[in-house]
Amino acid sequence: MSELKKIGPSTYLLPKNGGMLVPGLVIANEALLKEIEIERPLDQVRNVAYLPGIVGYSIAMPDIHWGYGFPIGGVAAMDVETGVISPGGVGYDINCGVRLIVVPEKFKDLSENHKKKLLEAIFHLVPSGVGHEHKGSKGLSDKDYQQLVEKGARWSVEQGFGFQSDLDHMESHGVIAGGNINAVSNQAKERGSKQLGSVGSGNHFIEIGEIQKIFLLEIAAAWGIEEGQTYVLIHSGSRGFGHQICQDTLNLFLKRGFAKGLPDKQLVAAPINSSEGQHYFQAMAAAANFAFNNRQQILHYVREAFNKVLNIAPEKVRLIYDVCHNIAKFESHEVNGVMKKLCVHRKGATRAFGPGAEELAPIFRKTGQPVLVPGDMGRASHLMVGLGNPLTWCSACHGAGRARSRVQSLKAWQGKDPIQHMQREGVTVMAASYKTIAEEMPDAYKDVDAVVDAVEEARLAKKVCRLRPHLVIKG
Amino acid sequence: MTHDENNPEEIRRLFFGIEVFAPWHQKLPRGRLLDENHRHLTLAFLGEANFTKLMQALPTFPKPLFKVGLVGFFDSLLFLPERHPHVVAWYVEWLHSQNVLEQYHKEVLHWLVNLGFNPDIRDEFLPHVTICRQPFFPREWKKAFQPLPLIAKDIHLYESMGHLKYEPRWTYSLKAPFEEIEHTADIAFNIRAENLEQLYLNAQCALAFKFPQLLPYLQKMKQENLEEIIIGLNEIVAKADSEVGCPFKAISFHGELETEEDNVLLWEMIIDV
Repeated sequence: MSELKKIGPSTYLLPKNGGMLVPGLVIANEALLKEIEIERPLDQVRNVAYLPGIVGYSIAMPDIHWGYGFPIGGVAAMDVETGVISPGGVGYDINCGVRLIVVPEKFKDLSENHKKKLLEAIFHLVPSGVGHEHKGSKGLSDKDYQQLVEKGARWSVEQGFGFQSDLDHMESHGVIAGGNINAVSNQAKERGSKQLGSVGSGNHFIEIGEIQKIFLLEIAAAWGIEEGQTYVLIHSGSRGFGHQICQDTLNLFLKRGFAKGLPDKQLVAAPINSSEGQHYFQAMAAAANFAFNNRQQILHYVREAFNKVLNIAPEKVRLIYDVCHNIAKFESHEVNGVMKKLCVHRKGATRAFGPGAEELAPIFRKTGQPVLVPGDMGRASHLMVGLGNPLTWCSACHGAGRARSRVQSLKAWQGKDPIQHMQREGVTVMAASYKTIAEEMPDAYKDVDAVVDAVEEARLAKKVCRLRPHLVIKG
Repeated sequence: MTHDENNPEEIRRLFFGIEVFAPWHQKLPRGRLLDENHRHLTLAFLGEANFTKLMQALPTFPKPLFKVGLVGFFDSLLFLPERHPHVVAWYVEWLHSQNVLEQYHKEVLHWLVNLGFNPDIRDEFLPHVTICRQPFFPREWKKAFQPLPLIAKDIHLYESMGHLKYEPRWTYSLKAPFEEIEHTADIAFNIRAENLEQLYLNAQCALAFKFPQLLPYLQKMKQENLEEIIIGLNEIVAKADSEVGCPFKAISFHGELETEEDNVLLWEMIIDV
């Protein structure tokens, strides 16, 4: 930590040394840096800076923690002509992401009976937990796979899951161009076959709560968000399909010797323009599109639950935005005064385009892009708006980040009743496994308020509103 | 210290056993259950024997050829003895070193006989762990049985204290085949083994400790290097995930293989969850 040099509000420089091609950049404030175990993740920030073609900085967000090759909360942009693409820079759960939905009802107006029924209905409709999938589903055919990996979320909309208008409320309109099912193994297809519309396990969740506090009234109003309103947050990714694609690619890249010269094998990366690099991008885009469909179908079931329990029409349950936080994307950014096409890896980081970004739908082009920052299941989550800061290639954080290991958390809650504890804190939790709840208790995470404050101080995004969870379904 | 066969204080109910660790089920059928901390695998049963004499002989206790504890799984249920059973036991299938333990059992017996003790010698060595004593309901136990992974690590001279309590009076420790270590985001283990084949199996057993449903997917396969081991482990995880679901995303290509002073291999395995 002593190596870090403060260069701006909540912004630190990690000087270049050894084989680093660029310096590191850490977004955090003093309090966070004291609180987190920083040395191992900082090593990973340094290691990422060795990757060929990296430009600018190897970047760490304030929710940084140790990851697979790249730190989680890491951002790295590579020159498309000279750079590499790294599966470790995307993560196993390709296009793991979050979507925020608002419901035209004040949370305080929901009766206890309705809350209970809502939670039960969603728990019943959306499979969660290890390996859970839709029972009775016939699975995805080859044709289904081909279409969904090319069309992205539009495929689910065409199948009756949601509305055309939902697509404007998703990063990249719910599709990463270039998805190719021929780049995907049969094993990946088997793993994903019945998993669309399911949450999965680990830190994935569905939470319902209230918009507790609005910081930017004008933007909240533009997005149709009011204080006290009921919201739903969905966190899930590409399930077994994406994991297998990552695994298949790592095996291939290692066999081809692409880890040679790198300080960590897990950074293994192929030149973007090589056949292997292209193959990975096509498979990664396929998984990203699978994930958009997954979250779109979960949204459909959430709408069904609100319709069944509260008689709210599905179209009134509005999607605010859907973000990817494990992805590599081709974007144009200015490098040393010249516009360049870059491959931006965001692993546990969120794109945070500011006002005027061409890719955004008109409503967001005026305001900047919504940035969703889920915290823990007890305290809060945040909705921010991107400022398009070029220092981080228009990126911000993706969550609170773990402060305590799963083992520590499990030990800390041994012999206690975490469900009762959460209930006393005003949060009802349902989960497929008790263990998951104990591992995911709020004290296992950093304080998300401190994380978003650092992001705001560093001018990556601004806080729009704070969300307070009340009903949580964990995987 | 002298020993006196006629001094009742020196005669104790003794046996050598290996302490067994497993992700024990918290709910088991009815019966007089052995506390988890007292479950063991008997290596050589002495019965009433001279404690002082045995303690004095322990410096010559035959050391096992294996330096790292053994891994295996409970693969079936036994009611012992067969004719009029009064205990419920789980049979142990070793993932490796099956014959090694049997050989070692014979060595310990031989050592005891040479010292003038009278250990229980049977035709067949049946590796098992007693879980419960009479009264019990066999049907309930048969219905509830599920395979579980296990580690056999510390060799103890146990004294039977009665009421299903067994206290270690002397210990010879082996290195743990795996032990969980702290990791901020994921699950991590230190895996130890005497060769790559064992390392692969010990790593699989560590995974099965966290998720016993992985047991049917375990595989013995010769691996040439750490990379192949990681690829093999990931294939197991992928197969289990596609068939029954699996809480692990992948085994990280992290770390190097280290060799400790006594030539034991050590690898830090990190599991992405």
